[in-house]
Amino acid sequence: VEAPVNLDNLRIIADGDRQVEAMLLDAFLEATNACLNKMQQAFAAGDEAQWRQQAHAFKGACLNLGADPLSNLCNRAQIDWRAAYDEKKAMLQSIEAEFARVKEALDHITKTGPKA
Amino acid sequence: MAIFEHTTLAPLVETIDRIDPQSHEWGFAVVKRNYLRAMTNEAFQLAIRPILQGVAEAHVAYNNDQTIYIAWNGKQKLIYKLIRNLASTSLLRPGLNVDGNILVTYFDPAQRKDEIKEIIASEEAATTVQSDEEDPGDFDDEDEEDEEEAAQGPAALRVLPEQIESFQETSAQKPYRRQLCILVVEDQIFAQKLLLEILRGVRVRNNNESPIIDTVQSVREAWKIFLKKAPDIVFIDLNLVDGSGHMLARAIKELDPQSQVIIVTANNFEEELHVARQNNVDGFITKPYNKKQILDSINRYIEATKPVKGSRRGSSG
Repeated sequence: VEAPVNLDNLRIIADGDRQVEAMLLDAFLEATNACLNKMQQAFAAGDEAQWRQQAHAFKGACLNLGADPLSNLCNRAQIDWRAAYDEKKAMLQSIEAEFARVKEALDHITKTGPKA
Repeated sequence: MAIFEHTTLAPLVETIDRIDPQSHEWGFAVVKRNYLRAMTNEAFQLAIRPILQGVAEAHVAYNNDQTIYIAWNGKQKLIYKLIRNLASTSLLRPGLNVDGNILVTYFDPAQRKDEIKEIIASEEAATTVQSDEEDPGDFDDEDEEDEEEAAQGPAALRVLPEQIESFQETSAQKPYRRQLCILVVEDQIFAQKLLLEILRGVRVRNNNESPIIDTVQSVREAWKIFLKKAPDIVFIDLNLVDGSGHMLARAIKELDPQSQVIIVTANNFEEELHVARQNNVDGFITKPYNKKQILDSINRYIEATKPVKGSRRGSSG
């Protein structure tokens, strides 16, 4: 199973500063929680344009963080923005599950610190 | 290459008539403008011109406020994809459910010449009869809001003569500035913070000063800051809250070809790259943000602007 996140790129950007790293992780969670909420709302309302836009934004944030499996799921949701209800429901469930895995990993990293 | 823009449909019908039925070089698309944020001809023209630049001949006819017809010779499929992408990704009204509505319809004029002519004729007649009818569907009583949206979108890229004069004065000072001026146009907080972290590490070699960085989230704000400050480098995300980063990039390069415009996007699609190239942008960086790529793009600008009396700028990360 592929690791949910790889923070190598983020750490290069943070340049070893743990405070900056924590600030960036907070920003990621703030941005992606908003994306997921809006995707859930778009799904419920059948709003395809909003679905596509939020899937795109979600994907971008995941790519920047290094959450590749989640970014792949978001990419699929963006490409298949006109998919049928059941298909979208399944996509959303996969995204929710993978997002939970990412949050768990980030929580663990925050508590234990980066590996040497 | 020639792009003809018409405000009546007769020249378009003449073009369709002269298409050889054996030729499959021509493409034809009907764009339903009701579903687009770009409400003015001017705004649509700005967006469609770079897309059509690579074809042998193109005709864009604006029948009314609702429908735009586009006929082009060459690159049938690619141009259709770009038009469709423009309509559905960049100009779509926010929050609109397009299910069941066709934004862009494609026809092969060689095979469906008569059908196209019938559509044009019927739309022309319908315009005369239905000119007072309301928009259908999801946004029929939001006229004021729509006008406001339009003002915030591509129409916000208009520039007044006095603004140009003031911009040119500011721009002329670029080589003599102590600090590099950077504008970041990104509407997502995480992406914005990442980019800022990278840019904070930049130092101008001679005086070792960090750059002045402005951050905005929309096309409208970006254009305002650009006109006021004439930044050296502009990083632009493509999907912005009030429009497409492509349009902003094009407007910037048209006004000031010396400005360095770098597109940053999560969309690693050929169509996006094609439009960016047509707009003469200086860089196209796909997410994830890579520190080296960002710093290289800054160094390229500094190298390109080096031969200035008494001021040699270079950066290090």
